[in-house]
Amino acid sequence: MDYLTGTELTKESFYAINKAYWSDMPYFIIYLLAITYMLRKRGCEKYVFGYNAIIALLTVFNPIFVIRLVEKLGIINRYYRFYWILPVAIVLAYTFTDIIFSGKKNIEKIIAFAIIMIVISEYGKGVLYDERSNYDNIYKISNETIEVCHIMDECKPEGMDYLKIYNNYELALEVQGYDASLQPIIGRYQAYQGQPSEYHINLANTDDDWLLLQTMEDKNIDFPVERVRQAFENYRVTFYIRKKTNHTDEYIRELGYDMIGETESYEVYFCGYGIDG
Amino acid sequence: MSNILGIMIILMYIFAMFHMLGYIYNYFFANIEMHYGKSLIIGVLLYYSIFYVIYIPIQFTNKSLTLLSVLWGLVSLGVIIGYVYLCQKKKNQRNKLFQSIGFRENKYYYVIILAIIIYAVFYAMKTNIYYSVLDNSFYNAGINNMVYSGTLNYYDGYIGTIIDTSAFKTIRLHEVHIATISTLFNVHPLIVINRVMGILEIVGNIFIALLIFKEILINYKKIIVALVIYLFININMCGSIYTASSFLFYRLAETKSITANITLPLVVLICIYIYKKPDNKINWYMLFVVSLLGVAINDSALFLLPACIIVNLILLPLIYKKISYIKNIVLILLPCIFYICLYVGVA
Repeated sequence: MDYLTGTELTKESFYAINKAYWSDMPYFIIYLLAITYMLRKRGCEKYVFGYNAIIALLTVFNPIFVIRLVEKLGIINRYYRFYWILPVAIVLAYTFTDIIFSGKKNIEKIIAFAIIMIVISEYGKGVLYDERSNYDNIYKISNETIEVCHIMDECKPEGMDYLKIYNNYELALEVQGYDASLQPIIGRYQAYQGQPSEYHINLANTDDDWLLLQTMEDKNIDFPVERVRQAFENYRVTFYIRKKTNHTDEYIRELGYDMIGETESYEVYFCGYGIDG
Repeated sequence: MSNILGIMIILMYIFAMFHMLGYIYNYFFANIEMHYGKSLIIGVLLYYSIFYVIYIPIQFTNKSLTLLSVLWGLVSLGVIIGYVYLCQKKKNQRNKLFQSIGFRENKYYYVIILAIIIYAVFYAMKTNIYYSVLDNSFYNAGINNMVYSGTLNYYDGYIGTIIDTSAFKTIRLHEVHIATISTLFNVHPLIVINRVMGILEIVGNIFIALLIFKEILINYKKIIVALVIYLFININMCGSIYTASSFLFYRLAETKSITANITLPLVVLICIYIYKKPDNKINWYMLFVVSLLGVAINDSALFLLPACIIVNLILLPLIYKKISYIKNIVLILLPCIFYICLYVGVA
């Protein structure tokens, strides 16, 4: 999905965005049919859902018009949000309801209702049965994040308002979302990066500590120990959270920091920089 | 405060504020009795408008979140006192809950609607936050930092530093509102975001859909069926580009989620009101407030709101053959135009 992170919108990227959602196209075709149904109505729905959708398709969703506009505003990665202005779910619900109630007998209505529900659930993405869930805490964040925060909290020196931490991007900023006194020195940026390349490996020679650190954990690259320790010191990192699958144990031993606790996927190390105020 | 108790109290507080402000508006300005749904929406708009008026000077004079919370607490107290006073003064004309929402025929339909809403809320509360490593935690960290520091300073997760309010000129109405509520009730911001605001967003989205169906379907049986199908489509089409339900159920109470699931459907609803009664000024005022608040909540609304408003209302002057409506549309778009000018650096 590299085209979604670019800043220039070209015809190619425009079509690429639409192609990425091509599997939903039948759903959109049903919506177009619903619009034609709306145009036969007499009430205000004819204008709000019928003609207006046609205007939207001719303007907001017109490649010739929208490519220039999006290019001007620099919102290529947000283009897909234009689809939100179409009240698709409302139009479909309205149309399906009208179809159901066009039946004369109750049994016809019930059958029509059942067929429509089955079609929606069969064609849908199956999210209804999605079992990805169950963070059994009231904060609705990963249980492991909370565990990691508690480990650091126990070793937190008194009188420190903020402590800098260095962590894997999968914890991202959840740590600070839970405990604001723990400040990740890097956070969201790494998630948009691709596979490690020669460019990343050569960063061992860079003077940019931030670039070095965000690459180290994200790309799982063992940079020279002295260089990493220097970067930690410059950034006054107090805690280092290592993902267990990242780096070798030998490399971590060479870094020379004490482990103060661990969870299922993470180990927490005390680096101790920045606690002298 | 116990977390569950905190959630219940905040939910009741916010709903009560919406209700009371809607009632106060009705008391002073409505000539005829307004149906409860519309009154509640006016309450929502008034609530955020008042918060907006208090918050903007605080941000641009670099004052603290604590001060904002105290002021907001006083405003809330004032609203409660005002509401009780007006109720006592005019007992007989008090609005009754759901009295005229459109289901006079059969009270059991309230139960069905309630069941639909409760199902949606439980579904959303059960699901994981799908994008937690990306956007969600980025915004949540910013809000938590505001609450922790008692300031409006923002934590920038890109570079790992706190940005001072004076250097951060973007208006963050929704996020600062969450931080204020969290401070006021001494509840963790994550609970306010993922539980309280998440529930409010889902209930709000279904409520707006209900009001839209009420306007275009009229028959209460049809409304119920349409509402069930609407929810079923949303739940099943999570992840589709053509619905914003992935934001509704997975990215609870994020600003762009509010834009997609509350602001834009609200524009559609108000446009229906306008098409039905184009000379009723309150509908135009409501749309203006939505336009003003919408762009203050999320940057994406900068281009989505004008597009939605223009697309929905462009035919109005032609249908009613009244050129003055164009002036109204332009006035409504002024906040968006102002923000767009700031955004692209023209102004």
